[in-house]
Amino acid sequence: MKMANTVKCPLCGTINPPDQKICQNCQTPLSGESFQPGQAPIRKDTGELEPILPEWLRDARETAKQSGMEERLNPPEQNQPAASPTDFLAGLQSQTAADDDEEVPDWLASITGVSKPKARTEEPAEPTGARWVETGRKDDFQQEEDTPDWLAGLQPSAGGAEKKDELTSDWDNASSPFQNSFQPLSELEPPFTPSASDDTPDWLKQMAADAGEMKSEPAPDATLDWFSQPPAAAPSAPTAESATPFVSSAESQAPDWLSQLQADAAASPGSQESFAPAAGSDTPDWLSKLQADMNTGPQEEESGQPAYTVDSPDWLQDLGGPPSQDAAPFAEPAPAESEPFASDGELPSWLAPEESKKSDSTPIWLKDNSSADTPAWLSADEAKTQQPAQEINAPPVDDGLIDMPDWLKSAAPEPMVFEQPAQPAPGIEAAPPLTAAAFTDDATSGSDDLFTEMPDWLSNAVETPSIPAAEPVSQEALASGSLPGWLEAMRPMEQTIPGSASLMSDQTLEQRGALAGLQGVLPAGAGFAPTSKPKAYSNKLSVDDEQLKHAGIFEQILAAETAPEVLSTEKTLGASRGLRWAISAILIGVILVTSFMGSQFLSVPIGVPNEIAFAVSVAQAIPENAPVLVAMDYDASRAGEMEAAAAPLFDNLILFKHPRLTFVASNEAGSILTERFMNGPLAFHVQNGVTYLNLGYLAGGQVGIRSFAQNPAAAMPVDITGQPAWTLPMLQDVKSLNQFALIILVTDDADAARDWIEQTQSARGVVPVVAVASAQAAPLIQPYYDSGQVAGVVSGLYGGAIVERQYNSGRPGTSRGYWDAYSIGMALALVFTLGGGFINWGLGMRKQPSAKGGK
Amino acid sequence: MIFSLDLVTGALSLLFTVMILSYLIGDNPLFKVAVYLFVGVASGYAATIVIWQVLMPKLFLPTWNIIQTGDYSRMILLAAPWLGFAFILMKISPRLAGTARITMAYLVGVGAAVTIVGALTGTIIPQIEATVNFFDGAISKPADQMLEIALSGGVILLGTVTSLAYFHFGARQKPDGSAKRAGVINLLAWVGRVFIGSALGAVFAGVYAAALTALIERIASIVGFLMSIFGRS
Repeated sequence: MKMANTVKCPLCGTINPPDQKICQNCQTPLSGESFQPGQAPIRKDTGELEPILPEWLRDARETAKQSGMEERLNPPEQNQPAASPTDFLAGLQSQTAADDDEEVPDWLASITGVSKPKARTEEPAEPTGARWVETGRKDDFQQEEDTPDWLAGLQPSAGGAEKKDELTSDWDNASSPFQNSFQPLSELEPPFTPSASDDTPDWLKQMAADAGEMKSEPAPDATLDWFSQPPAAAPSAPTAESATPFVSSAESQAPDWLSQLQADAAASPGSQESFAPAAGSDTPDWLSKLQADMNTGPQEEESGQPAYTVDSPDWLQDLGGPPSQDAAPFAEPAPAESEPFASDGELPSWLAPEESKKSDSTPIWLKDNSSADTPAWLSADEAKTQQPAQEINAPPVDDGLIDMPDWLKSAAPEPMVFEQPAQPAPGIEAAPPLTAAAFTDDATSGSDDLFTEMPDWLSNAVETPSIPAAEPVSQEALASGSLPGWLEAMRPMEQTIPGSASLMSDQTLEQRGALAGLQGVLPAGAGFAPTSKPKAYSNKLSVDDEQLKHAGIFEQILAAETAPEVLSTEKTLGASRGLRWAISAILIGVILVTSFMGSQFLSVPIGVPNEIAFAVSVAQAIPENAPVLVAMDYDASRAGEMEAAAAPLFDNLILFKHPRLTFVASNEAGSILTERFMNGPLAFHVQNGVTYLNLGYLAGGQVGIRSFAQNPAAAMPVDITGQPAWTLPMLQDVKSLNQFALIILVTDDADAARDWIEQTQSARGVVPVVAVASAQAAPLIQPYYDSGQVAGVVSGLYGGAIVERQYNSGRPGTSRGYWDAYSIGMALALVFTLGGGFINWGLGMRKQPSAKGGK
Repeated sequence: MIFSLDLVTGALSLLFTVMILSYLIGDNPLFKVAVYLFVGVASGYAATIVIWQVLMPKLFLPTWNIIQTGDYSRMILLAAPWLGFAFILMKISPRLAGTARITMAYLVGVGAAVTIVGALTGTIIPQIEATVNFFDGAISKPADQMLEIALSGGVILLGTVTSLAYFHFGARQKPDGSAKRAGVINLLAWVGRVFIGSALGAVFAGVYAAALTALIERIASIVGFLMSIFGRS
């Protein structure tokens, strides 16, 4: 219930009493209506918007803020900068500095609808968070007392003047009456309605009615409609726009009422009589006097000397007066703490180039006007006043906005700023300034002009000799050059501005920065930056039922291709552990039994193979005590077999021939196995004095064998004990390989036998070679026997047993001791092999019918 | 109690024989211990043999003798062995291992040459000559001997030719893309398979006979050891 009796501020949320029309906190109208005619812009704290400002702007603000502090410390210096001779607004500065109330015409003060400056003293202190773009300084409003009396009645209420803020003062400080036309009236005045009929004062309406051209008057949107925008839509609008004086060089910037006045003047050129009745009682006296002095104006203009007539308003006289020490040059509205327009020396960097070029304290937007000599609205060109309404309503070219940041431009009246056609145009510097001659011609010849008698400050501007005369500058040129592309891209509300489509094809020639001189490099269109979040598209594939069906079939095909195919494998007879153990047990059992029993019930074969017979024959054919070379090359694992195979032959040889045995080993174990052989099966010969020579290990494989074959003494110079071998009696008269009577190969490796056979092929000559080989190497040595390279072969236990039985009378008996176990083992192997073969054959025969049946 | 060397060696031989035969029940630590021990002992023994029977008598002692006698002219003959020895030792350092390539290249080159020459002069040419001349003189012999020589030589010749034909893999491509050896080659290869199978069977029988002999020797050794122990006790 309490809430119903209170009013909540739509801006700051402060709860206000129900009868409160203005927020106690932020001074926002609580009526819900944004703006009212004559209402002064409310100072807003836009501190929260500062983070979104560009960095350069924040830096500039900081710099200006610091400079503002200095300005406050030195107010006389700040307010009285040295004005250039061409500064036609210098008088304004002097007025501002002098705070002369009488120098401002009353009509100018009253038309703004603002209060007297004295009310400013009662104005509450500025909030600390106020920005210079929002509020001006208190001193900015001291000219408001100069409002003409005839316009004082237009002020709806003097009470509102007490609450008028610096923005209003800014507008008052503007030298142009055009600015004064935008002065907010009062905060307490009724809301401003942007209708075409309401934005014009009554006296102007009456003037229009008298002229009969009220309907053709340009739409007020071109001038005042932006002012009716709610503060919420553009928070900085009341600050930026109001702080920026709108001095236009185009006549379209003239307010409606002035345009109407010009139209009236055009309707009756050179006739003051026709103008005077039109003004009627609403026409101020000073305007009437202006009309009366129209005839004298041209002469004064022609003289080239600034004339200060009594007809001119005082403020115009002062404005046009020559700069003097007393009259401080014009400065921007007295800067606040961060006022960047305070002076030329304190301007931010983004304004510095323009200022430096002009080398004066006048802002660029004022300089351009000075170069143009005369505001268009003062020229009162008859032809221009008859332009169509749309042309009149065309946005004024505000040269002062060229270097304004985007946020300032956005806050400015948009039609004035942004409805300029975007066409490639030279920059401000390149643009030919409005010639003084043109202005003078208009002033001299335009007897029908409203302001034929120009103020002094305008006359000074016209007489500026340093500015060359040139043809008038078009609005397009000024507009396009004043707005960089990057600022235009950042401009808000661009799409809502009529005619912005022309900016899409902007071929603006860049004037500044790294892109200076390039044309159309920065898109000025609305599509430069996305204005909304991109649409989120779903990545889900949208398919219909038929496509899903086909996809399913395709997946089935792929699955069938990639599925592993189960192969039917035949059941094989695995290596059973039981079977393995059974065979091992049988073999070991048989061997153990025969060994323990020492049985010899199995007879040795009677027949003697040829290779064995030839081996024994060759061994028995050597001379007595002949040197015999024995190559030992078998492993320790084969020692039992090799000893059993070789012992009978060597026993026979030693018994009958007493050879001088020289052993050489072609593997590492050969030398020690030689000792084992001689001290094992043939131990009784060694014990009886039989000697032998062990040369030891012959390194190098085939190379070593070949080396030994070519020069045995060099290859094996010493025996196993390190004694020189070739000087021993065992090798007496033996210097080469072919001097041996017999070469016996004792090996379990066919490769070793082949190496000896091959590498000694040429060195041994006709020396016979007898091979005592293992059973596993005998088949591979057999070809050499068949080829005659090996004279005889004694292979394995079988060959040793035959030699032992047939040629050695059973000596030494080693082979015979193993023969029974060997014979049983071979028989078992035969049985197992044949048995396993038959079992596999039987399994195969069983599977064939089933396989055929299956097919 | 005094243990003789034969008793110790007999006991160790018995122990290690049992450990090796334990592989019948599968891979077990006893078998691994025995295998590792044999490998280690064999390697150590080989290194010892190389040092004492190769390096010492053929490199170190001659060098020492030269140093002692001062006859350094003979050192030229030892330069190559010393260089080869040094290069091979460079393999210890990975950075200098490349130096050993010189020695290894020399050894491989010489070994390959020796092998080729030995194979040509000791195996290929003699075997060809033996196969070609197998029938020499058979015609002058009696009929029974001539038949024996003819059959024996015929079998040898047939076995040699068919075995070589088996390793002939040349074939012609048929219009359908398949390849098939010629009919004659295919027939000879089939016969060659018989000879090759017979030869491999003979080799397998020899391997089995050799292994059986080794087993008999080992068991006989154990029996003899045990009998000697029990006989002594």
